[in-house]
Amino acid sequence: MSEHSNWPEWIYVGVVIALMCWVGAEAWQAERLVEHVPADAEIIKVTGQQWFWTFEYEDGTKTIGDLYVESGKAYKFEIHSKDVIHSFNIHDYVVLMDAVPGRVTTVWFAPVEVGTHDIQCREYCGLIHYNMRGTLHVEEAST
Amino acid sequence: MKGILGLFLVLAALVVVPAVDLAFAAGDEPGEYLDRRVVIWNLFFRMMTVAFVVGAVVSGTIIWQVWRFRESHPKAKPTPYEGTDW
Amino acid sequence: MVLELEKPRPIWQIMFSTHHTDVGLLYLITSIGFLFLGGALALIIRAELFLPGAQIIGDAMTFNRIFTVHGTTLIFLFILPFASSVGNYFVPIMVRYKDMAYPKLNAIAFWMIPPGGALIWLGFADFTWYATPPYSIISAPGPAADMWIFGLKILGISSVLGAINFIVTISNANTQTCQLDKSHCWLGLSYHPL
Repeated sequence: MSEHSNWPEWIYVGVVIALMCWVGAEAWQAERLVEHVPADAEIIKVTGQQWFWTFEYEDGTKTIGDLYVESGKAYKFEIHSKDVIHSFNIHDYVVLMDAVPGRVTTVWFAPVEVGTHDIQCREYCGLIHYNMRGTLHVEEAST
Repeated sequence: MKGILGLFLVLAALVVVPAVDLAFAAGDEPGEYLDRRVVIWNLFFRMMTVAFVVGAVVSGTIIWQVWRFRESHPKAKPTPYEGTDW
Repeated sequence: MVLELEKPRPIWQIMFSTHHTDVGLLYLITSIGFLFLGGALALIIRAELFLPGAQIIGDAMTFNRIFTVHGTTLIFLFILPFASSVGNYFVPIMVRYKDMAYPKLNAIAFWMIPPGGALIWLGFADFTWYATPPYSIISAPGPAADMWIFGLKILGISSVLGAINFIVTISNANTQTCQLDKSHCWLGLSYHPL
């Protein structure tokens, strides 16, 4: 049968592929930027379990539910889980990383101003997932 | 013509400004840390703009095409199947 | 092509039918029915979340089960059978053939939907429609998890049988009566296994 020319379709395919490549490149770039942890970041161990968060700081102190940090400093969270998958989320600072049993996941951030923010669990983990909350306290830098 | 130009300007802003911004990228000292909120929300808004532009272009094309090739259009031609059975 | 049908059409004839229009309409009615059931669950969720604190849902476990069944229903019991219904009705017409490639298999694929749906709804599991482990392994309420999984197994097999039907029907399209390169985009979409 007569083959009609189909250059509009091929242009459409080309545009779509170019668009996908550009979106992929932008996302890869953003991820590269966001995942680069500063060398002097203080490490905080976060443990999620049904249904609360606990935090352990570099000096050995531990807290339940409340996370204390200083503004202007960088912090790296090493996130563990004791039972099922949870997700550590500080919504205001766009910190979001799954807590997976059997592995340690990492996310970092640097708070910029003094204040309190909510911490919540963002992966369904059972009965009280909806109330698995904590508080981030950003305090004035001491040095 | 103006529409295409406006579209082009929007797309240039979506690509050029972040690229230039990257040249002055964040460092590793206190006070110069990257603000992840800015990077992530920025990407989100740019992707949203792209998504809606693409959506408008695609749906606009489909609507034009459906309207132009309707059976009652003055320039409509009979299909090859007229008069055939199933 | 004209089929001789009794008026009014006996219900048993529709239910035992293997003709693609009947199967398509059965899929349509079933999927719309599940749309309303799943939608009712969504409305219950919205009523509960309208104000802070507990409203009409007494405990957290019930809420968790409601959103799980809502999500599962709308994906596996509404959208997929609905797509199947549109495909079943139109694909044989578009390839200008009298029915799907395997009419009896088509009917079997449809009749797996009600038992699958029944298993999901009678189990009312609570581990969201992703059912991610480890939570879905330790999740508590009785046989709900197993019923959910078996319901989805049955629905999955139904989908695959339907997909086989679509692929064979479209591949076997007689190019004398149907010029595939000019056919409606839907054929390309139907080709994608559901």
